[in-house]
Amino acid sequence: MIAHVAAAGEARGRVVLRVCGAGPSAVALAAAVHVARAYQSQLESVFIRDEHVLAMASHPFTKVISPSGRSVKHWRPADIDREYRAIERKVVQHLNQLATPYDVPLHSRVVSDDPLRALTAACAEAGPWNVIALAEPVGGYAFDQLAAILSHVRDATGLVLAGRNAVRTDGPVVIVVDDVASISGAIRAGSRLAETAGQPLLVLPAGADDPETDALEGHLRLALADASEDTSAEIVVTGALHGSPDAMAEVVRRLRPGFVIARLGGALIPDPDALRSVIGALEGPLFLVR
Amino acid sequence: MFFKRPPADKTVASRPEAETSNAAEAEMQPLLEAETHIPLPAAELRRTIDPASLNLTTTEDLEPAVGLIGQDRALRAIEFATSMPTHDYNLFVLGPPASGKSTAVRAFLKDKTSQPRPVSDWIYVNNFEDPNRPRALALPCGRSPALRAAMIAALEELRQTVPAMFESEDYQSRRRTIEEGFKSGQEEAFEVLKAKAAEQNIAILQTPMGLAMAPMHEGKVVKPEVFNTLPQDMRQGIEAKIEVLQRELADILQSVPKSEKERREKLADLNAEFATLAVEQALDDIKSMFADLPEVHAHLEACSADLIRNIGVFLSSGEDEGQVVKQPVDISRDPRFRRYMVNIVVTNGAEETCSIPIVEELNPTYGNLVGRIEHIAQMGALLTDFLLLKPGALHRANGGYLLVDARKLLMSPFAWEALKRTIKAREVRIEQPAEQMGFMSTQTLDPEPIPLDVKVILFGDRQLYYLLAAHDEDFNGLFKVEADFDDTISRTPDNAAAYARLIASITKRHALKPVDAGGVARLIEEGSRLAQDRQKLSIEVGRLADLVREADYWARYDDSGVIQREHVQRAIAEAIQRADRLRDRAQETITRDIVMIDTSGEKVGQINGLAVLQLGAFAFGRPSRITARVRMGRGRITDIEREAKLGGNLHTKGVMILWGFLAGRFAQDTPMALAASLVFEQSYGGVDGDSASSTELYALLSALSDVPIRQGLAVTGSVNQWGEVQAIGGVNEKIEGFFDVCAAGGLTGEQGVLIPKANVQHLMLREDIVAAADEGRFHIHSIATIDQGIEVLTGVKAGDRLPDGTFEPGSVNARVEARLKGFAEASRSFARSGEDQAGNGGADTP
Repeated sequence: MIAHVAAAGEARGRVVLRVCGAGPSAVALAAAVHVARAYQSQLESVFIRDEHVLAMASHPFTKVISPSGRSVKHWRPADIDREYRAIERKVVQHLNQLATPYDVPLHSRVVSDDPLRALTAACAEAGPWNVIALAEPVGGYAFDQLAAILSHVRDATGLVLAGRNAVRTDGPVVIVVDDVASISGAIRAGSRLAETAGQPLLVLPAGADDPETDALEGHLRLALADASEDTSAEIVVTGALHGSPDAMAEVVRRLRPGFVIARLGGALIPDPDALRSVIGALEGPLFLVR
Repeated sequence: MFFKRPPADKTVASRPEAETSNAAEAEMQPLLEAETHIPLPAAELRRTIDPASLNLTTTEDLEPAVGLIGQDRALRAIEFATSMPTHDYNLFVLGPPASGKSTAVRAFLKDKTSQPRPVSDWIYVNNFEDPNRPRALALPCGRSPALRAAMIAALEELRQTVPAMFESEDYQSRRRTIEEGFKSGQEEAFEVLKAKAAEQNIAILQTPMGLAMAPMHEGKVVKPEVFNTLPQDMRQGIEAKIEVLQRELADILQSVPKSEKERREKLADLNAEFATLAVEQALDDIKSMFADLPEVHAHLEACSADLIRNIGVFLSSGEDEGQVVKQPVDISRDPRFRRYMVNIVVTNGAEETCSIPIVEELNPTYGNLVGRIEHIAQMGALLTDFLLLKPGALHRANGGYLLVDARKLLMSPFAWEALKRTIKAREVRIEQPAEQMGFMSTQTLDPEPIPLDVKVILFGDRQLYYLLAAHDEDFNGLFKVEADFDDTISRTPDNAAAYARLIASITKRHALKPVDAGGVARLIEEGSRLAQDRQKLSIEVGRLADLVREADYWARYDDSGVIQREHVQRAIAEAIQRADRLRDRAQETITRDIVMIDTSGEKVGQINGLAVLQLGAFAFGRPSRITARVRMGRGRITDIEREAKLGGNLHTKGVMILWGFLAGRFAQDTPMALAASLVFEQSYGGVDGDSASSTELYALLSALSDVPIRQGLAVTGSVNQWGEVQAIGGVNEKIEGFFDVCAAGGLTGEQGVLIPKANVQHLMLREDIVAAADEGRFHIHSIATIDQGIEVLTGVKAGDRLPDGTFEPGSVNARVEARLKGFAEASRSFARSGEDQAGNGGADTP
């Protein structure tokens, strides 16, 4: 995780913001800046001009359907180019407003490529300590897409995204811990985010079943006892969750988090259905880690 | 008296021959001595009162007077007007300033309204259907503050409960169910279409412009150059598939607004369900409190509906994000909740002590009378709402009495018209005056008018009342009752006693020392002096109160326990002394012979007239030399004052009257071949009034008869065409003015003043003059006719007409008539000689 950057004194950590040009989410942009602030890293926007879209625009028979569905019209590559540029200007302007007060270094590049390949290349340039941020809001059916990013982009430690219901970044930072090995790293990462936001850090033990949850809770208590005095986290004690992702999603929702850190494929989001529940429940950004 | 022959040095050389013969013949007759005229005794010069007759030691012995004394007529008018139930029987109280009018009316109304009587409270509330037309609601007396407080409490409760209710798990889970049902439905339909397209090797991609489709092979979009290599029927097949899928996608997207609408409706229903619960709980108590008032209840229902509809206002903070120190916002000042507040226009106290309002508006401007619509400047615009409706005096007086000074009212733009309009319409409507004139361009309101039941009482002087009655056609219809306050009452023993009680009430009200009997007597005497009539007492309470307070000051100055006669006397003297600088200067100009006034000796055609100068509240008399010159002429008196445009109309009238007297008495059968000139010597200001007409006539008679006038006498009085001397004003000041001039040179015992007989009743002279008269050093003569006057002035008999038609030889009248006949004959012979010369082709007329 990027938390390792801080722990190791690594100077090459980066937040790589993927902008594909389909209406960026303000919460996603704010989350990207927030992560960059927390880890004192730079933020690089990668404006991807999807080669598939460009190829599509070259077909004379294809039409573009407006988001309202009321307008179906032919398009030309020049039209799509103009729209990409407009979105790029808008995102740069927005990021400047968010990042300037905190002296977050901003960089950007424009790439015409397959989105996944472009992202992989961008992350590979600056070493392994990258966090990918997705500018566009993510729907409930994006499990495979997210898994593909984490699987293909090896030089990234995590993925920050905003669901379609995301409206805020204020609120406690909630870490969903489902693995003993990741406890200390998760607490360090969460602490940095919580400290930057001036919000409490809550840790939710989420085992595959209740005994495992109990065991995780025990480990968490030990880890928090060993943690430095600066680390202040609270363990979320719930009733029996029975390892149910829906129940966990509901618990997380009620905590009204400003940031949720969880593992894709972990206890909270084991499968596409669980992602739909989480995306539907969360009003803040989600930080997915491997 | 004295007998005086014509002075030996009088020249007659210039007289024409014909005139000379008549006049010389008359002059040959010895002058007839007039009978001695007895001056007024000292007792007639001032009406005093024996302190012992008052039967009091000090005013503490007396029961202070309640209300007014001697104003029965006015009080009956007030009683009548305030008891008439109709709207047009309003009252105009007229009388001199400081006569205690408003104090008396207030005291009367206080007695009349002492019993509690319910008077409605009035409030303005928001009109939820038409916010520009705020609603006016009536509540029983004293209940409006309870409504306002209850509304604030309810809103405070809602501010606490609504966010909690909408944060509750119950609400959140139901809301999420609606949201998710909608969003997942959309996503699912889209995902299904995406899968269907993928099965047909069609890609659906998100682009900056929307969604687009293209043929796909192995997960990648087929490039055009590759696609074009495909067989035509395959290409057409793909394009047809895309066409179909595009229509399906458009259908899905187009269904979004419909679903969105459904979602919003469901959310609105959910919000309304929770809002209703919260609002009903908060307003239930108020509704039951005011269940007996249907209009208030209806307003509360409207509030409920609006609160439910706009429950979102309780879910936003409404606080200024830039505020450094956040403080809890008083809900009544929170702009989000203004429309639910209550604007209390008027409330008359608690229910059990509610009384009829008596409101005196000291500054009756338009806004202060009918209320005003205030505005708040916001972002360069002027905004207003029903809470910025400010009541006027008419609102506060509704159900009772409104007291207004008429002069101030008339001097305030729009106020008089607004008051009349309001009384006529029997409702008070708050409007912007500029709006009426079409000048208003900013946002404003049209609040519902409030029914009006008020009795308006105007205060003013008589002149104002009669002007309004004459020139304002609405006035008589709306102010049907006049309460005419007398400024004097008869000086009877009963009224003197009442006056003493009035003085007692003044000392009590102003916490002054008591006045002893001597002081009261002096105040009563001063009351007569202020009334300018010894048969009357002034009831200008304000002036009397001032005098008593000043006497109290001098009593304290002397460490006296009571106000005594000398303190009153000193207060009067000091007040005069403070104001008489100009009198002193005028006096000085006479004693230094800058202004020529003779107070001894005799002169033909010269007499001392008397004038009164009014400077503010202080008036004083000043003698003025009047001279007359006569000659042959064409029957004309030259009033030099009028010719120099220094004489007023009344003065001119007086001169014409005296001419009428002369012509009527002396020129019945001969022409008036007289030319005379009259002048107020050394008078550089204006002269008006006819009080000098008798004086001027005496001067003329002296000039015509060649009989000198005693310069130790001064004269005042007007004259009519029959030679009767008529009353004038300011008699006391005039006498005092001449007395002071004479006293400055030393009283000779020959000096005095001639006053009309009708003015004797007005005499309230200073005590030093009374003493001088008593000692025979100064004389006041009451005169009924010109003949009487000329005898006193000249010591020569005026002369009656004898059976042969002539006047007694040696009388003044005989000499005047002879002189006039002489003028007539001289004129005739002069005219004849002129004709002869003309007939002889003679020379020019000399």
